[in-house]
Amino acid sequence: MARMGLNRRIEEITQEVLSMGSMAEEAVQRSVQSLKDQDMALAQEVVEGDERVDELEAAIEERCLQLIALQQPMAKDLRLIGSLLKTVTDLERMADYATNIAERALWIGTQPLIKPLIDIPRMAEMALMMVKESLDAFVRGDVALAEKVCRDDEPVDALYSALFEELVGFIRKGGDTQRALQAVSLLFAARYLERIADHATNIAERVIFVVTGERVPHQLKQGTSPGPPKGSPTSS
Amino acid sequence: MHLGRSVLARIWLSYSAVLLAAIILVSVFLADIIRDSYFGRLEERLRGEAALVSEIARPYLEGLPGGPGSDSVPLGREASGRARMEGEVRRLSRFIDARITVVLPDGEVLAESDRDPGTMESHASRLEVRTALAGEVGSTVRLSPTLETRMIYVAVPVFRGDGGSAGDSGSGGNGGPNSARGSSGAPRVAPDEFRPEAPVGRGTGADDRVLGVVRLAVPVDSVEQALARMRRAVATIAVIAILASALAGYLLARRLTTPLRELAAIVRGLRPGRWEGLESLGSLPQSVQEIDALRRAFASMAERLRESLRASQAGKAELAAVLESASEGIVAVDERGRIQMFNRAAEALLGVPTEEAIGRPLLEAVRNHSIAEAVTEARSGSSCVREIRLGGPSPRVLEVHAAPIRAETSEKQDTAARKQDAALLGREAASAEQATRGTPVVSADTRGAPRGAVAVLYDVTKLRRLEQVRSDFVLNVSHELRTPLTAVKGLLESLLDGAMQDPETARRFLSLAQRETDRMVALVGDLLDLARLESHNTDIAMGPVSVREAVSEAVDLLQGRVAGKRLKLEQDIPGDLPAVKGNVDLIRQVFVNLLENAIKFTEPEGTVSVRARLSPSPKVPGQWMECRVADTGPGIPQKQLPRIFERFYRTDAARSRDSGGTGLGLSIVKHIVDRHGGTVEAQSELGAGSTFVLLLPVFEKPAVDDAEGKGPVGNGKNGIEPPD
Repeated sequence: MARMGLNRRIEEITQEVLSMGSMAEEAVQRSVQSLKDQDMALAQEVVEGDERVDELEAAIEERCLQLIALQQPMAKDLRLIGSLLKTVTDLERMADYATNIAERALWIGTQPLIKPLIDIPRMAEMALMMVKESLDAFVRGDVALAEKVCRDDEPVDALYSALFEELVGFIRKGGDTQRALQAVSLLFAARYLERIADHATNIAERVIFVVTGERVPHQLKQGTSPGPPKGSPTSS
Repeated sequence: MHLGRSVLARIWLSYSAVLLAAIILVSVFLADIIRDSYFGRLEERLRGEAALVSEIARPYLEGLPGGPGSDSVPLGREASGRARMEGEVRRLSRFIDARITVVLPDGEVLAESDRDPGTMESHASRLEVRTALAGEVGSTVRLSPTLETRMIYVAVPVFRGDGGSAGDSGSGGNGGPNSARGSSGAPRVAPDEFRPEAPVGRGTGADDRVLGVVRLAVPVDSVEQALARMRRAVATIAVIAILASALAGYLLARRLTTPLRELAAIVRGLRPGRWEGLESLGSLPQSVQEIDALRRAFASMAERLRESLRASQAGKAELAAVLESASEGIVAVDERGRIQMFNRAAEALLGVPTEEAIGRPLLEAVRNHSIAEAVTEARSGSSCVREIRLGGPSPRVLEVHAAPIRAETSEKQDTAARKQDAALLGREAASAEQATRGTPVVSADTRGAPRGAVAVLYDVTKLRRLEQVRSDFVLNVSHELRTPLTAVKGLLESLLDGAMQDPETARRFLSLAQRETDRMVALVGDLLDLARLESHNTDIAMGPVSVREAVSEAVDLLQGRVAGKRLKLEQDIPGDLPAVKGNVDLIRQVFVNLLENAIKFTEPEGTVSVRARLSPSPKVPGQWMECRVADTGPGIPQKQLPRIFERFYRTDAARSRDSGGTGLGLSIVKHIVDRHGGTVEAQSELGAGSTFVLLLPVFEKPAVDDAEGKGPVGNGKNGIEPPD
């Protein structure tokens, strides 16, 4: 392989990461849409589309490692490639969550929704904006924007807490099992969105680290821990 | 500018070289000539003087030993003679301002004017002396070893007095004062012999005849001094000449270079948008012919450049304007994938400001991998078409056509530009074309490589929706037709299977079949109406229509049903209302459909009302009639209100089909009202009923011939037949 400029190669990989970001964004957006519109075909598409994201992740990882092995990048370049590698993982997780949401949509199927979906699409919108802005901040090295993304995580968490209370209320009411199960599915979907927002925050924090070399203080990161203990319902 | 390369330096250097060479040559020749003539003259003088001195010296010499008369001269006399001679020589030397030496043939110095002869060495070896001893006149220029200065020596032999009797008397006269030793038989030198032309000693036995040698010497420093003066003068002249030549060269060079420099400055100052120099180019002062020609050539070249630049800029601006105002989104990227062009439509479609997009990689600006993939594919050389869906608050469907930008295009542009140039240059066109034909501008191997890609984005959201609507429509129509057809088919089969035998059953079945068939007829009728209304090329005769009459006709048609459901029908249409402008049959159909609808959905013993009045506050200028058809039915959910005018849209599918509707009634109403330029909207409150509000234009009497205008309206020739 002819030796191209390291910068040029990093730029190319960055473009691919952005491409992957766009795929993940689209997957999230469409999964929520399928949940809202009860569009099974769309949900199925999202589930099938995850494979492409995984492939792209593997390809980018491979290229990054090759770059490190062959060109021995130094200092900032190395940090950049490292953060690319981690960002790719974040994006892959997001796409996975999107798939999970689509699976929830498939599980609910066409049974009437227990409540009109308003908060979940709103959460999705906020999370998607965070993903987009975190990638923007990543590409431009924009610390201010990255900090904004970190702050934006809070309202998402708050919304998740509210949803949690509401949906748990549905389950507590008992009665119709089907309704309770649907509430659980929706709860999961909300949880996934909350996690997606967290991954966007990770990306943003890494931007701050790469540019300033400073780790984000921890309280900024986990200021408001939403309702339930973290990690319990999310293992998928 | 390097000094050695400026015109001034070159002119000056060559001038100086030529001058120097000339001056040096001249001065060398001149010095030679001066020296020759000086020495010649000096030698000649010295010869003359030497001849004289020799005449004076001869008597002394003749008396000396070794001479012919040596035997007769005693040594004692000799010594005194020597002293006298010494005095003589000194005296003479003062007269002629030259050093005088008298040398005996054996080289001994007999007398010397400037020094004591006794201390002097033998002079026999001196060149001039040797020559003179041989009987000839010798002369040399050399450093005097005794005086250590450069001297010219001229030595003449003093001959025995055998030859010249004439010289006797002369010498006798000369020697008068100091002829102590007698002057008889004194040898003399014939004047001829001193001439340079005849320097060679005559007679064979010259040696014997030579009594001695008289040598005269003067320092030649004076010559050298003269020459040095001359050299100084020449050098001064040379310096002056060189300076003068420098001045002349400078003036000439300036005459040549000043206009050139000015020209260069002006030409350097010419650049796109700054053509002021062009005027000054024309107004430069006249100069050398060649430079004037150069200036004119520059002026015309700049003029042509400006023209072609202006043309290409205009073309570029035009192209940019065209692309910018295209309704399709246009995005162009360069070979590295950075956005080069991003027009307004693209800005609107993709929601990215142009300023932010330009110069950035596509994916960075437009965060969409599908578009990026299409463009990447195009950049690798193959065009492609993709349909992409944009999510977000306002979902859109875009068709992306991506194509590579190839070098060929630029060649095409080149050719176009060349044509333009050719047109500008006029007569030079032919030769230019000839030149370019010989050398292709784009070499073959770069021709095919894409230099970027351009993507055109079509917003096909509407198109896709319309396609969806159309296919839904076909689906609906087929469905609506199939239901009654299936029923009829089943009934007919039952009849054939034996139900025919029982007249009672047969009658029931047939009447059912008739009802289904009626429905189909109604449906097809409605579809035809719709189709006619939709095809805009059918003219609809418009005229004044009385709303009151139209409503009462509609009510008459529906009287049976109103009575059947024991509904209360209210009409509130003042008799003095003006007519609306429309087609009487269509207006009636509007009311039939609306009333039918109202009756259908109102529970028994409910109320249906029709009101009309002039619209108090029309949104559109002009007079409008507002008609309201209200019922006390269940109402329509808010969410469905915008959709109820769609074809086959039913708020409650099961119920409305039961009631025998086709699902097209309101759609037809909407179409008719649209054709009249009016509006229709539904207002509803769940449980309280629905109200349909119509706005129809009031008929304004034409200035003339209103009777004729009314004529064709009534017969409904072009109108559409109301159902039933």
